[in-house]
Amino acid sequence: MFWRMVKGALFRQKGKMLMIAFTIALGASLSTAMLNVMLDVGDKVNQELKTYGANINVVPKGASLLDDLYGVGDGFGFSDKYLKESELGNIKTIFWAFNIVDFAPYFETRVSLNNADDEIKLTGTWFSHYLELPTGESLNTGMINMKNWWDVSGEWISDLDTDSAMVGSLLANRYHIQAGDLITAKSGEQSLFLNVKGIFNSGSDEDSQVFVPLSVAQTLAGRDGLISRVEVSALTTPDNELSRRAAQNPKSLSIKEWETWYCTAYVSAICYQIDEVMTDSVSKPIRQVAESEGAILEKTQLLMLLITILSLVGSALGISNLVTASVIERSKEIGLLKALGANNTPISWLILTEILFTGVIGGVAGYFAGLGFAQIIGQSVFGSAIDIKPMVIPIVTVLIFTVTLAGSIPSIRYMLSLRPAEVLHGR
Amino acid sequence: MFVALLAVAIGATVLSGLVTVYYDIPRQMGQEFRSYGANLILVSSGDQPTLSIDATERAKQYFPAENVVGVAPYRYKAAKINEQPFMMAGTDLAEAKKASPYWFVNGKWPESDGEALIGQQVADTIHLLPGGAFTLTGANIDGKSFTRDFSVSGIIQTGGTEEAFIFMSLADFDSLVGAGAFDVVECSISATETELNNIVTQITDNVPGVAPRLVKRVTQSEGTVLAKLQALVYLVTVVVLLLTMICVATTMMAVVAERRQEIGLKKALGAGNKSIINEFLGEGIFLGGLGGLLGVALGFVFAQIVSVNVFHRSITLQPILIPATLIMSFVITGLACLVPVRSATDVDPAIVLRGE
Amino acid sequence: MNLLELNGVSKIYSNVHALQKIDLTVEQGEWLAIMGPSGSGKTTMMNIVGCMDKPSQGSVILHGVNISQESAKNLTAIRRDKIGLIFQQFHLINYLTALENVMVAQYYHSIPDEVEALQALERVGLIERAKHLPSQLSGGEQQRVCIARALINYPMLILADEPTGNLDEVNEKIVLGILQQLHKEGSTIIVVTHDPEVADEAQRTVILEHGKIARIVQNN
Repeated sequence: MFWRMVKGALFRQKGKMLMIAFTIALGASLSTAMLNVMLDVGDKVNQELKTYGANINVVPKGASLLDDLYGVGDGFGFSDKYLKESELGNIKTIFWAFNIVDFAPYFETRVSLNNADDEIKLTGTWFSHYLELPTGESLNTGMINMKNWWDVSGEWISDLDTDSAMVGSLLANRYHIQAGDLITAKSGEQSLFLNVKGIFNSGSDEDSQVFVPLSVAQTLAGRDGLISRVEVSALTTPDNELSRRAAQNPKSLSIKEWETWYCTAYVSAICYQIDEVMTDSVSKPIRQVAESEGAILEKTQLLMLLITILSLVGSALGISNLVTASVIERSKEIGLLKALGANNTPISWLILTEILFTGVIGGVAGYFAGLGFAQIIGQSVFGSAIDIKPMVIPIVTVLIFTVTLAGSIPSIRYMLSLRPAEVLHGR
Repeated sequence: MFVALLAVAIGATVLSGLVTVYYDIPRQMGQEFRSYGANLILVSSGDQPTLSIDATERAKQYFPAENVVGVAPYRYKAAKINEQPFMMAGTDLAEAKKASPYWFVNGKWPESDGEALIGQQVADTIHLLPGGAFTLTGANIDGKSFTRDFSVSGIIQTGGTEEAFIFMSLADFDSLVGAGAFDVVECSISATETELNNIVTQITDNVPGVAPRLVKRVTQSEGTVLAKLQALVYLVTVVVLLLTMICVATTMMAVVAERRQEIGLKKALGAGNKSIINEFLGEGIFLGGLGGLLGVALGFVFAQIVSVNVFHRSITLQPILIPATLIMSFVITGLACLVPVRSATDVDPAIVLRGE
Repeated sequence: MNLLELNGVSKIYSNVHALQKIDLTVEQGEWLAIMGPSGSGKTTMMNIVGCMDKPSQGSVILHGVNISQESAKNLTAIRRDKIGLIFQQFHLINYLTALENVMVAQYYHSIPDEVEALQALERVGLIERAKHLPSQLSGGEQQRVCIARALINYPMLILADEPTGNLDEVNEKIVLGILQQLHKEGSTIIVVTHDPEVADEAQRTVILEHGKIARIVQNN
């Protein structure tokens, strides 16, 4: 009989119950969408922040950084310390290999251009290099992905264009070079003809450099298989107290702390792991990028968290509000059941069962609708799918249950406290 | 009716709160992005390799004063410590701190003359710790040599070239090297790329001898990321608003549907459909107004909480939001009332009165 | 034997004296009508007898139990076991069929029994309407379902509050016919009514005025 009554209530007053289910579904879908987006927003924004380029600089141990910065380093000469090109693939084999988005090696040397007196910097790099890893996998990596703010007139060169070059805009102005011109680069006894395929504007000191494929620069300088530095772009977790201590001195950590640190994608942990696989290398986080990423990530996550809380509170209030209204609406029925001799407990169970049943239907429908909303947000903002986090399910379940119970129990109690005579006779 | 009022207030709170946050995001986030440091640098465009102080001041007039985060001029000169070559840099330290917030200083920023910040690499090479002392030797602009003792107030880490510099105040630098013009001026301005481009054009056209250049890595990337973030908050706002508004409408409908009997009674007493609808709409608009006002206030409180917690700044109330929220509340309560009232007025009063 | 005894029963709502020192006995098998103008205390008396309210003073003894002293929980049990209620507004649950509405009373009393519930509907002449919802029934039919529900647990006392108040003449006759039938079978019935015709059917009519028994009329 109990179930017959529940069934009657649910199916013979579809309109009412559907409206409650619909409202619960809206609340659930809102919570699901917001929670999923919130939990994934860190990864997504992190990915977006990769547009700022490298956040780790790998240099040979003991090498001097004092070289560029507005070209004031001229005359200090070049360090004779190098990293090995053959070890580059190892970067994609570290513990956090999956978080390494891109990397590009650089080999820098000085040349005189078109037989002028002063020397300029010629940099060899990977533009988009196909690399076979020791693990058997392969990937394309290089500078094109990491410098997407470069404004190139003409075109990017490829790693196979060994007779081509890209020239920085300042240099191009000084030497009156245009895309399509032929230039000569002379280093010591060696000299080379290069086709200028593109002029780029980067808004930094790179504008007074010439870029060529890595092997070209190495051959010109007579240092095959050697590189001056590597720029790495990695997805990282914002720094905290532990990672700061670790960055100062990894040996100061306890074994447990060390493991936590090593197994978290802190920029310092990734640097440490790169140092492990590259001989005589020192990896340094580029603080300008690493710090700012952390700050922006934290702000975005906090912002989303607060918006999520607002929408959770909003939907919770909305749902419990409607549930309360729907219970109060049933005052006569409750009074009648009492007059027919029903005790409080069975009446409460009856109404709770109906509401929870409605809640489950609404909640399940809302959960899937919410996944849809999350994907719409993910696709239209980030152009990629939002990761569906299973932990959202229990959160939403608990939320819906709590909210419907919170909405119904006080009102049921209030209804039960009324004497049937009051409700039935309006007295 | 309390239930309905609560529902409207929730909806209005979400509306005004989220829209305020949405409008404020670019401004607030733009400030955050300044932690990437300078987005505009001034260098010399003339024959002189340096920028005169006068030209710099003239260029600075083209910056929007309230959006300037920091403008740090730099002078560079090669110098030696223990016969090892280093680069000394003089700057306005207070401005440098604002323009390059990502500098990590182990120790303190210099507070008095004779104190210097040294890069991590310098510190490693000559084994200095904060509080240590070193002697700097070099030649001034007239070619005369100088020697001066400095104490290390702090060691800076940036992961970039700054780690190979010795930073000191401009006063110290000038006293050693002699007064002179700047090599470069780094500016951090809270503005969009278009605005920055305008500033660049204006300075190029009006201030001879100064070549402003955008730090593309910073400006362009900021534009990209900020656009995404704004799109995110925009979509989230739209979704939350949509769902909340429907939620409010269903609650309103439930509340009005409960009063079918009253409608039947009024009809039985001879009230026309029109007057009943007007009556309910009147109530709805009153509720909408009251709930809307409540929501404007609560929403502002919410936006303020978000802003203070996330960005550590307070926000200003957008006056346009008050009428906008109120109108939305009116529309939603009105629509939500109209649907059940219409269906109730269609019903025969006898049935409504008799029914349960 | 007396089924119901009211001794000096008073009910005071804040400062309104709804009932004042009512003394009344009802015998087993008796059909009693209560009449009186609005505000005379009819409904209050029904509520007290029906275990839905407690008197402020005095005692009510139903089948040897003093119900004026019982807890709300016990009152519910007494109401369930001994009393059948018939309302002017019918008060059927609108999402349950006629049959199910009858079975609800069985369910809270003991266990639902569909066959027995169908028999009860047959008695009120509604067997073919068993699967209809209240909204599909006429007022008279709804009242008959209400009567069937009141009968289903074989109550000692049937309390009917204006059972014909919302009915037309035809249905009024049908409902009165059913009550007469019940009376013949030995049920004790108390009917509150405005309608002298209904009151005439009863053996005795108690006339209330201002919360007091003005007079008692014996009908024949």
